[in-house]
Amino acid sequence: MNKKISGTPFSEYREEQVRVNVFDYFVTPSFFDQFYDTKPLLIYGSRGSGKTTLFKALALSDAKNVESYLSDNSYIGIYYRIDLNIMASFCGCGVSDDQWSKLFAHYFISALNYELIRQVIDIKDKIDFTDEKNFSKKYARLFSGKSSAVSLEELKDVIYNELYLVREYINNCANQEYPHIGDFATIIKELPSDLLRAIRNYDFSEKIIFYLVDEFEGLNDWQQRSILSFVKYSDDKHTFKICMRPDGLKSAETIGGEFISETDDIKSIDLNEKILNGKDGYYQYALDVCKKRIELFCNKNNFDINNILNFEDIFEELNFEHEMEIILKNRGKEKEKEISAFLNSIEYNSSEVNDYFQRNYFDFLLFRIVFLKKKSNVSVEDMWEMIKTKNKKYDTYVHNYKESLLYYLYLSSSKNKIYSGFRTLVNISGGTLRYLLEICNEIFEIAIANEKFSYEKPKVISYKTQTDAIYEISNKRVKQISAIPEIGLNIRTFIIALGKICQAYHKEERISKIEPNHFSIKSSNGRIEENVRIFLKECVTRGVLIKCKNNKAKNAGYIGADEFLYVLHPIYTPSFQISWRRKQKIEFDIEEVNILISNNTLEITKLIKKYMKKTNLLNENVNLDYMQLKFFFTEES
Amino acid sequence: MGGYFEKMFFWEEFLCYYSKDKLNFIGNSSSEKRSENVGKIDKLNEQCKCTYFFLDYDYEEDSFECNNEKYDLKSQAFTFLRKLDKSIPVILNITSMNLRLMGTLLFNIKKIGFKEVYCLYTEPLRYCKNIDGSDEEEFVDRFDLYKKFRGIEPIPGFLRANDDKLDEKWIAFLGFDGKRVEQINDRYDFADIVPVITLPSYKPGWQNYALQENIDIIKSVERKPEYIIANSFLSAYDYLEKMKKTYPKTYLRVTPLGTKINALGAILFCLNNVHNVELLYDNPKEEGKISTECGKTYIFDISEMINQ
Repeated sequence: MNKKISGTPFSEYREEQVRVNVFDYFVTPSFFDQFYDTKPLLIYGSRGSGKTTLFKALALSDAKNVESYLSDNSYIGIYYRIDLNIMASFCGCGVSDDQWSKLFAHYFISALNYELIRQVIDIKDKIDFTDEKNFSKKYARLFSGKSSAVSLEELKDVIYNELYLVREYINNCANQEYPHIGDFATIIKELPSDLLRAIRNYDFSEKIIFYLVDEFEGLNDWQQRSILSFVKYSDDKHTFKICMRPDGLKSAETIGGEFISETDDIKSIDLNEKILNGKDGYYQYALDVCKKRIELFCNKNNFDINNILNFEDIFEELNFEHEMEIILKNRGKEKEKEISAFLNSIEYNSSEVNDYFQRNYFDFLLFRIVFLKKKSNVSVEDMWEMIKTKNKKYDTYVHNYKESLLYYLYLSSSKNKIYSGFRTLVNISGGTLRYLLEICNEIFEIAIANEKFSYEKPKVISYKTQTDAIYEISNKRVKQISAIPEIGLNIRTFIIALGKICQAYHKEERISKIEPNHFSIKSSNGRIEENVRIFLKECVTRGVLIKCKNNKAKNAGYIGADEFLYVLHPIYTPSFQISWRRKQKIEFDIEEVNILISNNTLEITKLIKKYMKKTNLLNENVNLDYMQLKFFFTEES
Repeated sequence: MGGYFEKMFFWEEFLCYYSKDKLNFIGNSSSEKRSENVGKIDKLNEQCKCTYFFLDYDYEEDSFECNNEKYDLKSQAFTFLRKLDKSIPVILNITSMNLRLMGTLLFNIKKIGFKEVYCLYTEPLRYCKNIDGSDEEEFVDRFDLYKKFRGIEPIPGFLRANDDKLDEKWIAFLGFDGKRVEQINDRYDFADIVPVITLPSYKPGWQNYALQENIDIIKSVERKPEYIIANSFLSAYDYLEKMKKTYPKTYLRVTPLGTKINALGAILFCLNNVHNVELLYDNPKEEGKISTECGKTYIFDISEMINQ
């Protein structure tokens, strides 16, 4: 009987989409125990890296079994997602900054604790809350200044009213009085410990409250400082864990001007770094996540999970030789002419050499690179000797240029790079789990539609399907690169221009730079302008660029205006037919960067042409259409 | 359909219908031909005493100027409107009015309690941006109508919150500029998205532009787009009402990126439903002309709805 199956195991690839309990999908990463630390934690992770999922795994609201959660954990996680729309409204109205600051602090603490009280009410039937009346009375007064409450439910209403009054004030500031500000400092200091002490069972008195604050990058700098002021005064009864996108921290200061220090006050975790740490760290984690999804899917749809081969083996994987074969198919005459023409041009066209290279095209390409890069003390004979004997130097060249040559061949023969194998999918996702799941979803959807893939009798998914899926997702992601609202469309224009410049290097015969997909900035005065800094920060926050330390200063005299490298996120690399690997960088002048971020398409095009000229591509028919994907050239065509 | 009847007039009909002796006309300064105010005021002056107020909205300062007086949008729009006699009907020319200004005015009009309220809108005949994009415009979208945005920020008067953490639904009235929807979703990452397209649109085939420009988000959701009528604010209002009734325990976030008339419906709905409905908007800055020439002019009587 044919079953109608809805979706693929990877259909729900965003945390917000996961309709079953998040714990069902959750795979504990190796570094997760760091999240239990009672010290405040700042967690950086790009979009789709799993930040929210990790938080939800700690949150009481998402506990699959509340009793187990309360018994097994030494913490109570209260998840709070910052709403950009609300936080952006704390401004204007002729109100002073100080008044907004107090109002914001009052609102934030009220919102956090409204969530806490709401969660406690939800589990009230399971806990033994003593002295609810006094607790509620005390905090009703602290929040509102006047109200009374005798139960948690009434306290919740009091806090709700405070939130409502702040919003009403913002909506009607012309006609409303500035609202009462609760004693937020006392509330945040005392409420967690009072609450934990008041609950008798499940060892609440030994627990700590984790305030899990998500989307911190959405706040402006004074708001972040306000919250950091609370973070600094975490204690053994409450602490903060704050998630944000990379470079999302706008200020490391508190309202009082104190700096938050890594050693004394907080810890920080870079999720991307953690996930990618170690040779196979991310790979194994990604594999476990995918296997878990397959397992859930099979269970849900009554498939025998043993039907699914080792998950990795479902993906056909081509090796280097296979790819070369595909690229060079039907290029016999072309290769012949190319080799002969080159050897003639360097006056080294003996029959021995020519015949050898006709049979070993890869070695010819290497030889050509060596020749084009040659130093004056190296003769053509030495180069030939190196190729013929395959000595150590040859091995070094192969190691350095093998992958580059693959990209070169694809680009010069106008064929689309093949992507195959689970490891490749993991690499292209660049540490962002969401991208991997999206790619897998696309692969399975195409496989089901075009290859009649079935879960009951699964077979290996072809490299063509995998490649199609990767291009689909990569191109979609490029198109989705959004604007920075305040300064317009620059990010996508910038990324397209960067992609084209990198592509020019990949298409260069002599491969002057090995697989560049990242850049650093050089400036004559060692400074980077503020607008460039802001722009690059936004690119990093949005996950379009990955920022790394630039450890390889060229020489002592090198003025690194920016100590960082900016790497194009691997998910975009297929769209530009460039490598995802981090090899050699491009160094842009600050003036060039200014052009690239300027949105001035004329100047940008000129700059791209300049790089094409550098890489000898200028005579090519330059196609500036960023939609790189041409119809896929299959071996059957 | 809900409990309201859409009172819509063509311009010429309104001129015949309107019988009061006074009228307050509020319009904004714009370079767009279709938002031209003077000709309309002259016509109205043939019928009644029409007092006009031209508002010059400043995007950077979030304020507007009228008769050489500056008003902060958030804190002084109320003051401006309160100077008007609320018993005299008011007509808002919303054609090229920034939605932020329009929403704030309507919020305060409701609060003050103006008895008779009309909105005037002139359709565009065509949009003048990049429809036949040339190669030089490779980096620019076909409907790159706005370049700058204030960003996501509540329109004054429309701040709400999902305090009880209800499941959320994002209802996006899709326009021609597909990037806006992506920008907003980039910040919020909504799980449940309801794309809404106008059909019939102002001109036959224009719904296809909206489909094409928003194809990525439409493909990514698990449902087909919904449809509302482009030149009907009641269509938008009733649709939202239907959604609220169908999903009573869901927090609705509404983003009106489509027609101004549909946005009017969304604004009125949000004004009349303060719980679990929120307007989510990216506040673009209009720069220069977006459209050329004029289509039909409509007048909508929203008195009953705004005074609910």
